Amino acid sequence: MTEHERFQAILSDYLDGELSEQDCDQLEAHLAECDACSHQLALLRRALQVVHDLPQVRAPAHFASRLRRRARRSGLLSRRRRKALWRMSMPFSSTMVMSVLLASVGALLIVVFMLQKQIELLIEHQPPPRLQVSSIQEMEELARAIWDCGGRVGLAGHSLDAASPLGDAWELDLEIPRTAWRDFQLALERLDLHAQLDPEPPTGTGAIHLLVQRMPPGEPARQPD
Amino acid sequence: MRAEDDIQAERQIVEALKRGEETAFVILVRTHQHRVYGLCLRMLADRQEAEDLAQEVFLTVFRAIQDFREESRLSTWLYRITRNHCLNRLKFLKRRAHEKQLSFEDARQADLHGQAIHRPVAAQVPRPDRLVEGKQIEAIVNDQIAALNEEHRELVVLRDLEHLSYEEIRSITGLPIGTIKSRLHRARMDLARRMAPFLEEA
Repeated sequence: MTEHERFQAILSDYLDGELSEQDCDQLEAHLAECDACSHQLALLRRALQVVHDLPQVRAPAHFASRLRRRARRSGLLSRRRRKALWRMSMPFSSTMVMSVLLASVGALLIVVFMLQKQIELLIEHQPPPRLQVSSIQEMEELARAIWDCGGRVGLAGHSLDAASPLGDAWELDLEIPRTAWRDFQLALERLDLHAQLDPEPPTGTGAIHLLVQRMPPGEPARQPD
Repeated sequence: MRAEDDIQAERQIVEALKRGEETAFVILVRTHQHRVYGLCLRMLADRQEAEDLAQEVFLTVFRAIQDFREESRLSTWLYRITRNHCLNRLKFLKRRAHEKQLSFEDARQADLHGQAIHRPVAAQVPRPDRLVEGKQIEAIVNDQIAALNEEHRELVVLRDLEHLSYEEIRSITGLPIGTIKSRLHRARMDLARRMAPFLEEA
């Protein structure tokens, strides 16, 4: 390599400021004498200036959104995202997590089942509707109507307060089959006992219980509570 | 201080990427999309190919992030992947163009009259008598960069358009710094000679 070729080869380094001070001095001395090298340096400097002035290429406006769609379509983003979430929030094995999840669901089902039972019991223990009669005769007719419907008559198990306006009043517990509710209402109409009962049987399962209270003679029939 | 902040921010992005966070992916894309796309466009000189390839680069990064050992900057690693993708795509495009050329040659041979239906596709070299101003000088320079051979083109792009240091270029290309400097000089001289007629016009 001649001295001239060596200087030509380091023109780029000279423009980049990569030359040592000594090489720089030598090149500048050579440039002062060599038209060819000076011309090449000028051309190179001008070309690089134009290249450096080029505006930065910008990606198309839709680039990021398209890429995101592509990544999702390939399952790359969503799958990794889920894995990351598992790793971040649950430092347990997936089997443990599933066991805890299943146990929670089981416990929830048991609670719901127990609540349902409680609600049913609550419905069953609602105070039974009451009927009032004013004479033994009416009571006998009522009892017959119950028997006709396949029901039973028994003592309710407690006495009313002696201080109540009913005096020596007593209660009977009437048990009526649920399916016979409508027949029982028709029987009450026939007996001219105007009980204000719902046309539909009370909620719950099993037989329906009614409390019958005897009114002292001469007292007007009280409406049921 | 700013460089340290950049490195710290980059480290956080890498950690988030390794955890598979979509937000990190979005930040990575927004930060580097123009440079990655720009490198692809300069190397391939085709917008559609460049966009497709740049997207491939990001998908590759996301797939391979677990293997990134952080021995270099994320941006350097990203450039290395981009450069490798570009070289592979160029090989593929050349092979495809060659196969097309062959089939076209076969068709020409089969033409009984031997009509001149095939003309070599000349590089779109603009005439010096064009007005060399503004956008046009930009288009001319881009054309001349695209006309460089691949080895020269990548160094001009990395050094003179992306303004990377020799050390970064060494890390991306794997070439010794001496080779980079001498090859870059030849590339620049080649480009300067190609541009000379237009530079005098301008």
